Order: sequence, then structure tokens, then C-alpha cells
Amino acid sequence: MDISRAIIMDVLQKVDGSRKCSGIYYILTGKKTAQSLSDSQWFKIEPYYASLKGLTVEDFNSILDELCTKEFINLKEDQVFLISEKGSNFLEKNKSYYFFMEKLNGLKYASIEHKCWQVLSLFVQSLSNALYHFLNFSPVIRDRDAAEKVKILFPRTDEQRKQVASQLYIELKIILKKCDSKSAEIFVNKLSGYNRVGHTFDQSAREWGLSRVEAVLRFRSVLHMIFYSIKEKPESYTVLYTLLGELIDIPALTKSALQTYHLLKQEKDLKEIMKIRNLKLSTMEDHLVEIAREIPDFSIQPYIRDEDKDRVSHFYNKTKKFKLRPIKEAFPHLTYLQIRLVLAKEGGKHAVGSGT
Amino acid sequence: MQLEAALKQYYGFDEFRPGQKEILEDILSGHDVLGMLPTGTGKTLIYQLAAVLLKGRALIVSPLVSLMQDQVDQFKQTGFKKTVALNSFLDQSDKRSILKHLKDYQFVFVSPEIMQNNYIRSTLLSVEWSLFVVDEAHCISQWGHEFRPHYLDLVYVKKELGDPVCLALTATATVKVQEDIQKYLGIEKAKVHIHSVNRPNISLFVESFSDLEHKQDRAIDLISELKGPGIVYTNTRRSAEQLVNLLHEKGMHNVSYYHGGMEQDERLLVQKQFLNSQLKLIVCTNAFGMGINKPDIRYVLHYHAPSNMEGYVQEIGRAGRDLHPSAAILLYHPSDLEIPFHFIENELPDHNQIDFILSDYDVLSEQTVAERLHLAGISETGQRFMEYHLNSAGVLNEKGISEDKRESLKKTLKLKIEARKKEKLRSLRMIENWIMTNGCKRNMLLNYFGEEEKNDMEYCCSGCQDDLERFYGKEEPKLLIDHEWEDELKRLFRQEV
Ligand SMILES: Nc1ncnc2c1ncn2[C@@H]1O[C@H](COP(=O)(O)OP(=O)(O)OP(=O)(O)O)[C@@H](O)[C@H]1O
Ligand SMILES: [Mg+2]
Ligand SMILES: [Zn+2]
Repeated sequence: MDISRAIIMDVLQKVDGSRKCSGIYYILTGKKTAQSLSDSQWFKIEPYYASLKGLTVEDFNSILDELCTKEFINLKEDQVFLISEKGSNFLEKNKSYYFFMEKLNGLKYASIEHKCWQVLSLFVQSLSNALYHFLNFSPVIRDRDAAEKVKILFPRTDEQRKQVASQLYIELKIILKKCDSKSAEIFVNKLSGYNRVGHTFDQSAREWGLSRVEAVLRFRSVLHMIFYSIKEKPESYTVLYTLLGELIDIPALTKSALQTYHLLKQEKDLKEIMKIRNLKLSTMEDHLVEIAREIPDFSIQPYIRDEDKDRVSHFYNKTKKFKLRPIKEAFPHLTYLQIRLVLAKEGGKHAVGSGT
Repeated sequence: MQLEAALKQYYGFDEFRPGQKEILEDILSGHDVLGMLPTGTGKTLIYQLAAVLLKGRALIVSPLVSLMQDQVDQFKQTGFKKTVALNSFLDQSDKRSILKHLKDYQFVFVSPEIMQNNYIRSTLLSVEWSLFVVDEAHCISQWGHEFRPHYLDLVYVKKELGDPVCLALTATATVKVQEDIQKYLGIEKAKVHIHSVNRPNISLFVESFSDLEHKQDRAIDLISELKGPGIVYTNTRRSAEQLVNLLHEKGMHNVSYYHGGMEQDERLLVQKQFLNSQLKLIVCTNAFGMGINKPDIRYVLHYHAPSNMEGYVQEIGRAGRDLHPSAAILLYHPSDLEIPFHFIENELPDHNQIDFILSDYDVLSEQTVAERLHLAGISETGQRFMEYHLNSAGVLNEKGISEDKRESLKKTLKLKIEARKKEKLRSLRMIENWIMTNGCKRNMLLNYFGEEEKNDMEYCCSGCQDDLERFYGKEEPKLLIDHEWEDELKRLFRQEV
């Protein structure tokens, strides 16, 4: 059975009838709505968030139809499906095959994995060629940011290159050893280096007799494993950390902020929420900023007039400084919270700091 | 001798190819030049060296965005690192950062459309230019096969930039098109260097089929027999993929497709694999073959007929750039022409769409002509065409245009479109004719470009009994390290075993 079917079945199992299939579709394709973000955590299906990026609704529906016909799932009510006993037996029996997906964390990494891969892949290609003293290679990555980053971090002398290579080799080897050999193979084959250009997903899939989706997922599972390892133990992965540390440092919505968010969505006002959750005002405000930053669909309109918002973003974009004080001085009639909300929407991760 | 020394220094080549030196000399002494040199003979080298010797900066207009990016890669690989491309694919921040550092670049590629943007144009004005290069200059002519209306504005841009020396280059221009290039670029006094389109090292083969399956079998046979590397052109993405799947089924593994529907990362991998000889063959659509500059391509096989002679010449021009014998093979079935025919019919807006774009404003809401243009559902080429003409008529960003003006505009546009369609259909008939007519394919091709026949070729074409089997053979298989990931990782990082 193709992996996308197994994923859909597993998600149906975990959601257990409490979401319509459209909601599930959004999670699987990684649509950034508040609902799919929080559902992914709620139902503990973070690995699957954005696991089927690019799947069309038509294909999704025809998979559901097919699974129904084969009685792996049943229709509970309009648009709601449940896994059947046959379905869950199937998953149980093939558990070990799908085990590699435990390493996925689409919710955390879907938004940054591509950038990270571009940096890593270009760095490895450049380093490998340099180690063989072949300087005139043609890069497989054109992204300007990645090129800039690699240029800055690239070791200058032969000696340094050798050192970095040995270290990076060890780091990758340790992580790849934690993965199954098929996924490791696919990952290494995607790397480019001296005298070899990496595989495309189609090529890897063909070589291993897998579907393209599975080849992509196996590759991503290794990539996510790398991110996870760096985060856990940056001191053991010094080269990888230098390359990717900054990129993977994205705080996702915390549990506490998530609860606040659920209450907000039930149209409770701030005072009520503070009472229910027994929160200090400053914590409440931190949550709001966090939510504004992490959840694109969360509108800050109730907290600040559009006109003020536009003026603050204009001011910020002109100076590009995340200092609150100068902005506060320029707009004395606004509160710090209002300014932080605008910045959260503008600049994402930098807007975490509270106060000054 | 100074020129030869530079050639040696920058490329390691010993001598110029015909035309290169003469054009360089003219440019260096300050003349505008129109150069027509056959495909793959090194037009790029001319403006690279010219800019270097002038110690100046070159602006290069190039029509295809995908091609442009490939060119930038090639420039960097040749050692011209200060090269950049400005096109609509860049995001805002990249564009800004390039423009901010414009003066640090020596070669700047631009699409003709992007110079419509006032901000970009004024930034371009802020640095000095020694050379204004118009690559694929045939795009300026209505009679060229790839007419790009925005090329007509280049003459103004050039003036604004202070009229730097202008070099217009093409491989495929009939006499009429050559005249248009000079006229519309305002370089009537240019030195003209016209060389034959003929590529003597490429043998031409045409085979006709009345049965699609036979054609497919023949293609597969040829692909397994011919010595690679090779390129196969198909006229749709789908047929490119289908053919590749078929070849995989037959056990040919080092074959991939390459087209605009692929993710950019993946496309780049396939292209670089091919350049690195990891692939023996790529199957592509015509829009994506153009950027491939691999010297040792031994054959180009057309799985479908292209839609005009010029396009055909450009496409087979990917072969034999190292000047070694190579083959161009066209496998023809009458249904090949259906897709280009359909395309010609639908590319430009029809009467209804024109009427919609320029309809009565009292009835409909407050929209500018440009907004309507985007709602009309026309192809990219069609949009470009309309945008250009509506802009020239000064109505693109207007609302509430007088009835008289609208009516007269509708009429002129419809006439222009009809004329363009007719021209394209004529070109389609020409290539059909070329395929169907028995005789020397090379001479017929030369005739089309208004050149004299060549009758002294040792090897020529299927009409002159050249033998396709000459091109059979096996290439040295590239040693592809096919071992466990641990060994490959070791190799990549050069760790001792
Ligand atoms: N004088 C020379 N000696 C040897 N090789 C040359 C010389 N000049 C150019 N070349 C090589 O010829 C190849 C083709 O050059 P280039 O891409 O500039 O062709 P072109 O004329 O622009 O063709 P097209 O019309 O297909 O774009 C390049 O690989 C280049 O290195
Ligand atoms: Mg060229
Ligand atoms: Zn002949």
C-alpha cells in the first residue's frame, strides 16, 4: 500500500471522528490555519503536518473513496471517516515499515526545511569539491541567501577544510546511523559533491521501487532527525549547528499559549481568559504576541486600528530595528502591546522580547 | 595579437572561430554590430571579451528567464563571477539587493519586460554601461519566430543609457529579420557580419511515419543505438514524461526528463547530472533545451516536429558544439502539427477577448484596461502582446476611454493579431513543406534563409544518403560510485578508509 494511504489511515485513527476530512486535508498538506496548526498538536499528529504537501483535493478524495471501497475506513457521517478494524490491523501489522515517520515533525520544520537543505546541500557540495581541489564546479543550489550563508561560513584554508570535513562526516554519520538504511541511502544520494550530482526524488524512488511521496518522506525524516539532533545536543554537532542552528531556532506555539488561543477562539475576552487561566497581564500579553507571530490567520485588528498598524509597520520597515522604545517614542499614543503585535506580524521570530 | 592573447588567457583557446575576431575588432573601435553567427559557435565569448577589453560593464538583454539563469551559471563557471540576472522570478528583496550593488557587477542580464519598471530602469541609469548586448535579436521582428513586442522598446532604453556600443546577436534571421533588427534597434549604421546558418558538422535526417506506434518504436531503437549524450525534444511535458517512462521500462536508466513543470531544485539537478555525464539522454520541451550548453552532445532527436524552421535550427544547434560530427533526427507524423496549430490559434486573444478588454465602461465596474487584461484568460504570450500594444497606445492604465478610441483600437489590434497568426501559420506550413519535400534537406534549409546552396559536403542529410548508422555506438559509461551510503559519505568528505 502506498504510504499516503497509510498516513491518511493513521491520521483518521488518531483524530477518531472528531474532524471532517477537509480539516484533515489541510493538516496533511500543511495549510497554515490556526485550526490545522493547533489540531496537529492536539491529536498528536505533528509528524504528518505537511507530510503530503502538494496533494490535490481530488487525489485526496479519491484515496478516501478507494480506502472505503476496500473497507479500510468507513464513513461515519457526512465528510467524517473512521478507521475500520481491518484498517487498524493493517497499520499494526506494518508498524515497523512505517517506523521512519516517527522522526518527522512537519509541524515544527515544514517551514524551514527547504532553506536548511539548501544551505546544507550547497555547503557539502562546495566542501567536497574543495577537498578534491576541484574549484570549478557548478552549484546545484541557486538560492542567493543560501549562497551568501555558505560563503560566509566556508572554511578558508586547506587545513580547516579537512577538519570541518572530518567533523561534519562524523556528525552526519552518527545521525544517519539512527535512521533506517533505506532512508539514509536516499539522503546521501541526494547530496551532491565531487564528481557527482545528487539524485532527484524521482530517481531515488525508481531506484528503490518506492513511490515518489515515500522517497520524499524518507528524505525529510532524515532532515528532521538532523534538526532534532542539533537542537537536543548542539555541542555534539558543532558544524551542523553552525550551518543550521539559526534557521531552526523557531519557537512554535507553546502549550500554554495554545490553551489561551483556544479560549480566544471561543470568543472569550482577555479579562475572562486571564481569570479562567489565572494569568498575569504580562503573560497574557506574551501569549497574544506569540499567537500573532505563529498563526498567520490570527488577526490583530481587534487590538489596534488599521491606520496605526500601517504607520507602525511603515516606520519599522524604514528602520528595520526591532527596538521597541524608538517606536514607542514615535507613537506615544500606542501601548507596547499594540506595537509588539504589529512587529509580530511584520517580522516573525524577532518580536519575542517583551518590555523594551 | 592582443586579442589572441586575451583569448588564450581567459579561455585557453588557441584561435577564434569565424566571425568572432572581426566583430570584436569592430566593437572595440566603437562601432555598433549586427552579428549573425550559427548556433553554438560562440557568440557569448564575443561580448564577454569585449566587456573585459573595454574594461566596462555590459547589459545583456535575453528573452528566456530560464535560459538567463543558465547563462549566469555558465558565466560564473567560465570565471566571470561578477554576473547577475534581473528577472521577474526574483523576489523583492533579492531584486533590491542586486540593484543596490549594481555597480559591483560586470555583466547584468535583463529581460526586456523587466525594464518597463521605472525603478529598475532608473537604477540601471545610475551606473555606466560600455556595451548594450541584444541576444537572440530576432525577437524584435514580427517576422521572427519568437516576436517579443517589448524588444521594440530597447531602442529607448539604449538611448536613455547614453547609447553605449550596441551588439545585436542571433543565429537565425532571414534577410527581412536582419533589416528589422537594425531598424528597430536604431543601428542602421552598424557593421554587419552575416554568416551562414549552416552547421556543417550536423547531419540532418528526416523520417516520416504514418503510424504513431512505428514512430515510437523507431525512436526507442534509435535511442538505444545512437552514441550519446543526446537530447530528445517533445512538444508537451506529458509526452516527455511518457517517453522517459517507456525508456525506463526498456531498462535504459540514465535517462531523465527536463521541463518547466518540475520544481526548480529538481530541474537543476537533472541539468547538472547531464552536464556531468551522469545521464546519457534528456528528454525536454523546447523552452528548456535552450540553456543547455554541453559541448559533446552527439545527437538531437525531434520526437515531434517543431513549429517553424528557425526554432528547429536553434534546437538542433544544441548538438556538436565541439564541432565533432553529430546528428539531427526528426521523426515526423502528421499529427505532430496539431499541437502547434492549436497553440497558434489560441495564443493570442480572439475577438471576444479583445471586445471584453476594451468594452463599454458604463456597464461594467471601475476597472483599468490592465485589470481587464488579466481577467480575460489569455496566454502569457498573449498578455505580453496586448500589454505592449495597449501601453503604446497609452491606454493600459486608463479607465473610461472614449468610444471612438476604443473602436479604432479594437480594429487595429484585431488586424495585428490576424497578421501575426497568419505569419505563424505560414511558418508552420514552411516546416511541413520542408519535411515533406524530397531532396537535400540542407539546401532547402539554406534556401529558406536566403542563402546559396552547398554542394560540397562530404556528409549531408537523409536526402543525400548520409548514413545514420555512422552515429551508432556506445559511450564510455561514467563510473558511478554505487556503493553503500557509508562509503559514499566517506568519499564525499574524502575520509581515508
Ligand atoms: N574560439 C573558440 N574556440 C573553441 N571553442 C569556442 C570558441 N568560442 C566559443 N567556443 C565554445 O563554443 C560553445 C558555444 O558557445 P555559445 O554558447 O556562446 O554559443 P552561441 O553562439 O551563443 O550559440 P546559440 O546561438 O546556440 O546560443 C561554448 O562551449 C564555447 O566555450
Ligand atoms: Mg547564445
Ligand atoms: Zn543534403
